Amino acid sequence: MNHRYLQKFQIKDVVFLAIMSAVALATCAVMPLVISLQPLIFGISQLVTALQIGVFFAIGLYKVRKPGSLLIMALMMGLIQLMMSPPMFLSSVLNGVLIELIVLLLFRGYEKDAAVFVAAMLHTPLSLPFNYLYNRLVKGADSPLAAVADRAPLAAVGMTLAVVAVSALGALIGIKIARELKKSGVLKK
Amino acid sequence: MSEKLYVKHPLFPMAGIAVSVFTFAFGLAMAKSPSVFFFLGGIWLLLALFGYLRPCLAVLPAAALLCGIFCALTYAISRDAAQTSAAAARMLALCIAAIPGLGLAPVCLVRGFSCMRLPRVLTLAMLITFTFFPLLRAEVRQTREAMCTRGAGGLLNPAILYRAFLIPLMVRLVNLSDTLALSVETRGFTTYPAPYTVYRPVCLRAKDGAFAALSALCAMGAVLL
Repeated sequence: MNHRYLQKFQIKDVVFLAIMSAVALATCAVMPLVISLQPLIFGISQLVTALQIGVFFAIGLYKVRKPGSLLIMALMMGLIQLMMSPPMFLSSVLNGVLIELIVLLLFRGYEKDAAVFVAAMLHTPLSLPFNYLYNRLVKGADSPLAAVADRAPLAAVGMTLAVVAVSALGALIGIKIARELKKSGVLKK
Repeated sequence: MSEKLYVKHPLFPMAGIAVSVFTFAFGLAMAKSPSVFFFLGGIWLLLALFGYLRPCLAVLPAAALLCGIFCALTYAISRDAAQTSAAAARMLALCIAAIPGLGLAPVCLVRGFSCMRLPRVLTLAMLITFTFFPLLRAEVRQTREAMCTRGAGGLLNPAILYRAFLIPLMVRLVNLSDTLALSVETRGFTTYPAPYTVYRPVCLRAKDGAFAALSALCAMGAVLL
């Protein structure tokens, strides 16, 4: 049983996961363009990054189906974010740990495509409750980022659903690309 | 992150991260007090004096823009000068916390982590992630040029984006990943725990201690003011 859960990462796995997290992070460069809208629209930064993160995390997990793969990608993204914004690092790593636990409990690993889909889909939406709680608890109820959700809770729920939908779409596209690459012989396990 | 902003003799990487986290956390905790600007100004000045002048100057336009936008929005929502000042302090704390990261070359960070004997999986992945961005830019440019050569059309069409851009780019990235993994393996790198040394070890110096002491003085000054 231990062998199934705790599979050793090889160099090629680590390299591929690192590249996927670098690509995901590079495509998240659109986030600063909407950062000024955050106090007006809840979850806008997650909405514009959910698709890319879903796509590249799904491809990474499709190839490296080992427990801990998502945590490595989240950690790599988080370490670069740590230099820019420490809460983003915390959010990324905590989400990574949480998703690894969920996948381990529900699917016992990433062997099934459904596990890859769930893990890639959950990463961005899970940062919404973290951001809300963080802003409310650390910055206080008057924080513009927390106040925007309190002022219009229905809009916040709508945005959360939109982030989940976009993230799910990203994960589906990622799995589709990975299947195509595998079929053509490019993506080997 | 631009290479031009890298500092020649940066702070110890862990000390740099600690400065970022401390500046951000203290800035948030003291955001409602006007003396927080004394603290943030002090840290900015200290960083500039400790060799981070370029990243300190580079962060100013972004800080001014973000502060302006956030302050305008906060004032429009709350009509309260104190809340607007707190929003400015939070945004400044975020921008100043980014300075040590902007000035730190990725290789220094990886060497620092290697000196701390972090698992090889992490240090290797970190090095690849940090240094992959220029390569990615070149690959994207090459894929776009190949699209133009074939007359594939614009990226705004989702079908073209998927078939002519995303798939070829992913194929290139997978091939690059395989080549890079092979290259790393042939150089003797392994994920198994094996004793290794660090080329140019990075360690704590008196400079880091002085910076920590002066930062603490700034924080104390802000609390006492």
